[in-house]
Amino acid sequence: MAALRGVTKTYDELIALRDVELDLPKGAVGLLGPNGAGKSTLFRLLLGLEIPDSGTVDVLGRAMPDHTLDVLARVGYMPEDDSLFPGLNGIEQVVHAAQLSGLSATDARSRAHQALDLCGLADARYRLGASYSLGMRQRLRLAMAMAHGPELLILDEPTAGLDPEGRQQMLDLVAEIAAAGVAVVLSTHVLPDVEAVCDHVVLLSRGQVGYNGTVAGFKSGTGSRWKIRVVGDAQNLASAVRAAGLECEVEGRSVVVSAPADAAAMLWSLCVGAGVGVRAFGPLEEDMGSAFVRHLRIDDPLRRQAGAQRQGAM
Amino acid sequence: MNGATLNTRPPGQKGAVVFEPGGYARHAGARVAESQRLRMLLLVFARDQWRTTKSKIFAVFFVLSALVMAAVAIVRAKFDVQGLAVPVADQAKWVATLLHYHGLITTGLLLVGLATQVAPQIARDAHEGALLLYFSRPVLRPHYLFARWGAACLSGLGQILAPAVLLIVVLLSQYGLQPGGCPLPGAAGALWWLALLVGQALSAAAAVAMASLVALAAGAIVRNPSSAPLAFGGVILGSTAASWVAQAAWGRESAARALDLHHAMSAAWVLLSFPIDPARPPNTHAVAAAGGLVLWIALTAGAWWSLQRFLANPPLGKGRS
Repeated sequence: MAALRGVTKTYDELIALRDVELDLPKGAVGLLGPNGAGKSTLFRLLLGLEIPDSGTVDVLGRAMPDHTLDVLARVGYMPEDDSLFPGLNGIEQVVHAAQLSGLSATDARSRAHQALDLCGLADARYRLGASYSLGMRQRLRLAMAMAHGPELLILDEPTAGLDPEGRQQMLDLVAEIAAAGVAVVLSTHVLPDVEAVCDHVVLLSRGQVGYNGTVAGFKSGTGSRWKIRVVGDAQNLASAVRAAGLECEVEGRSVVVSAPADAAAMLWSLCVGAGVGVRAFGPLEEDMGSAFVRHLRIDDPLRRQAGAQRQGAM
Repeated sequence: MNGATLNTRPPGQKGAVVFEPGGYARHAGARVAESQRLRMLLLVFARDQWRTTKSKIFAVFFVLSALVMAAVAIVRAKFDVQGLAVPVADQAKWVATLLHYHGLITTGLLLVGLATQVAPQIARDAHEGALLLYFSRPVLRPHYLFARWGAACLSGLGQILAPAVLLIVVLLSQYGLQPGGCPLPGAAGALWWLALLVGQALSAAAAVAMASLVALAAGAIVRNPSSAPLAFGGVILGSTAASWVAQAAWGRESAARALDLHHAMSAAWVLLSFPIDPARPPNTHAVAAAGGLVLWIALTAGAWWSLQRFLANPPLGKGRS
């Protein structure tokens, strides 16, 4: 859907993206990263708003920024900012956006009505966009981004500032669009949103790709922690595990063991040896927040680089 | 958006399309060509000029100025009252002067309109984050600028030319094809009105084009829709004030008039009217007019350069001006 090859982008002294190699697959992709990680710069490169200092950017199979007009006609973008066309009502906003993306006046009007219906703004379509509530404006911007029927939809913080109900409606809409075969790239700081909608995650950290893979892989990480829920005394198992030279913690009737990903057989034999009944056994799955923090620590490119240098020095 | 679409034609009304809500669907229809998109952008921006009640009311003043002038022309042609009727020998000169004054009034109104309606446009787009909405769609930055500029020119030209044509029609009906006192004999004299009309149109087009670009640039430089009218108005009023000060020092008939940007907007008109109004020799008015024209051209070049710089690195996002 989009590919970056050796892309570096700097602003004066600041390196926003550093030699990024990234393939964005079809489907819904969550773009994560702390503030200043380079997410906005990545979006701007995908939209042809910025030109990389080095490297190439391909979107929908076309090189940017050489084919910007062709690509942008097939891309929908919902910006993070509370931006609307000044002085237009809801339907005019969407019609204008669709026409700018290349639809004829008739098609634009037809699809604008449908997009507003889909986004639940049918009753407010003739009200000034500026008079909408924050949640309505978010949905209006989504309608503007999708009215021309894009193949790739880029959403920058679509749920920012929404109440729980509004957030859920927005996520349902995005999931529906993704299910219709539209590639969606979703940038957000709300990690459960990514879990709810996306099946692929890209983590940017300090201008480099820290993680690029499935949501399940993001949460399970390297499989280095195991959770064993026992029947009987968990302390018995904990003692056996420690005697085997592994670290573990006891959490009620569960024992969380730090062990390699291929340690399943060994852990099972420890359970048998300790004489405890096993109720549940498997790699510990983290929530998105914990996984995010862990990946930032483990996958921090600068940390990795420093580690490699230390090893080289030894 | 793949819901059923039902085409209906309610009796006695226009054709209508009823949309049934449905799920999302990709657009399978054709997309319009780039030139058509640019034309659409121009139309949207042109419509934008007339969106507010203020702009509609403002347009009335242009027509009102022509109606007042036309009333004066009719009264002075119809009523043979001592001191009111225009002597036959002075008709040509009087008509030229009347059109010149009307030009000054309408260009004054135009400048107010540009300051209040055109100058804030780019500033507002930047302030409201709309530039990102435009440039994240297939809209080239030069296309955006040309559409904004073209819309301002179309609107301004309409506001200037419509009352001018109205006034010329009234003058034609009152004074005929060759008013008394016209120094140009024969066919040349008969073409006088045509020359006046063309001169008025050229003058208006040039004035509108240059002033519109300067107004847009003022908004792009200050990047604040509230300050943009003050920036543009400040330049115009500042030039008028500077001209007055210079005239006080060097004399009213000096080239100091060239500093007055508003006065210089009718420069083309002054220059064009020489052949038909020899009573107005190539005097300081002409020098001032030519100088003012040069000043406008320099200002326009500066505006173009500023807008290019602005669009090379525009503020993308709301409140990032």
